[in-house]
Amino acid sequence: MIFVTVGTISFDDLVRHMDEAVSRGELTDVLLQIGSNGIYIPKHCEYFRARPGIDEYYRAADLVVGHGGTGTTLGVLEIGTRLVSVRNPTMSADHQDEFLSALERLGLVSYCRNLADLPTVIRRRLQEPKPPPCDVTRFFCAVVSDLEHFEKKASNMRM
Amino acid sequence: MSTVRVCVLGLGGGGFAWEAQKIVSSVRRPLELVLVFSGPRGGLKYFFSDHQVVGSYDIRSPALTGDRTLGQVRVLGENVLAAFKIIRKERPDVVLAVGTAQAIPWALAARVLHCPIWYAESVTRVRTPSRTARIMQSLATRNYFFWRELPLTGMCMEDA
Repeated sequence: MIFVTVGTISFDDLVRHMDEAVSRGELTDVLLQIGSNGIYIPKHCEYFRARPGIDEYYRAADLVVGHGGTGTTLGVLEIGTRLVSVRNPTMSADHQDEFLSALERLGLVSYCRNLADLPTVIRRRLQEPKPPPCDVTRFFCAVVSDLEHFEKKASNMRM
Repeated sequence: MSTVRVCVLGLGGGGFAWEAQKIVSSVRRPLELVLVFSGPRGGLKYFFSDHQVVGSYDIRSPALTGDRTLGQVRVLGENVLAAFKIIRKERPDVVLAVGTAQAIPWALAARVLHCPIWYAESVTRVRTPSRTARIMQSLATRNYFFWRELPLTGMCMEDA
């Protein structure tokens, strides 16, 4: 199963491209999460707007297509499901391109820069072996370590 | 190992909340958490952690998409007042903010009250720091960021 998730903010272009790819027979067995304010309603795929416990879909999927948000991207990497990422250009402060390019350099994601190429990128990625789970704590290691080794001092807080 | 009381800002859904939750959940030491939810409508009030939650607050964050400047200034003031009240009441050992603009008003209160405030730039920022991160460079007790390309000072975790 190919699971497509747009996160909390709608990404109609991605949903429409996936729906059209299914209608042309380029992809099969696609489930879409379209967001609570998504306008485009898929005609050729199963879909839902939002559900709790989305990690279960990441685990069940052979491949996840996601936007470049932190939760989706690192959440899928942590589970170890194949991931194809697409930048959502409608996000304010468009830094998803930087983030996905950096993760691509580390070999962690397949970054699809053009939605028209998405079916090809997905089919190619499906041929590759499933990646091992990624320890995403590495992205926060110093904060975690400093909290673990935090030494409480006599409070000099002004209360 | 003694318990550390951590006030976590910027919860309520989205990437910042995910990152904050991941940090807190990864800490292998007992924590007492004071959760501060924020978002356009107070945010989504869920937070999964094995640590004990001792307090939970709901305060709109400044600089949310769609807010106008005057509205942001008003929310900023509300956050400073709320931060004073909550820090004085909950007495956290440290205030932790990941990415959120809520860090700025809380830093003002935390500095006055001599409470440490740590700011971690979102991992999604690779070359261009957020405006919040630039401001927090001089306000936070400690600054963290991941990618070494970022023109920030503090603890670079890519090198750690």
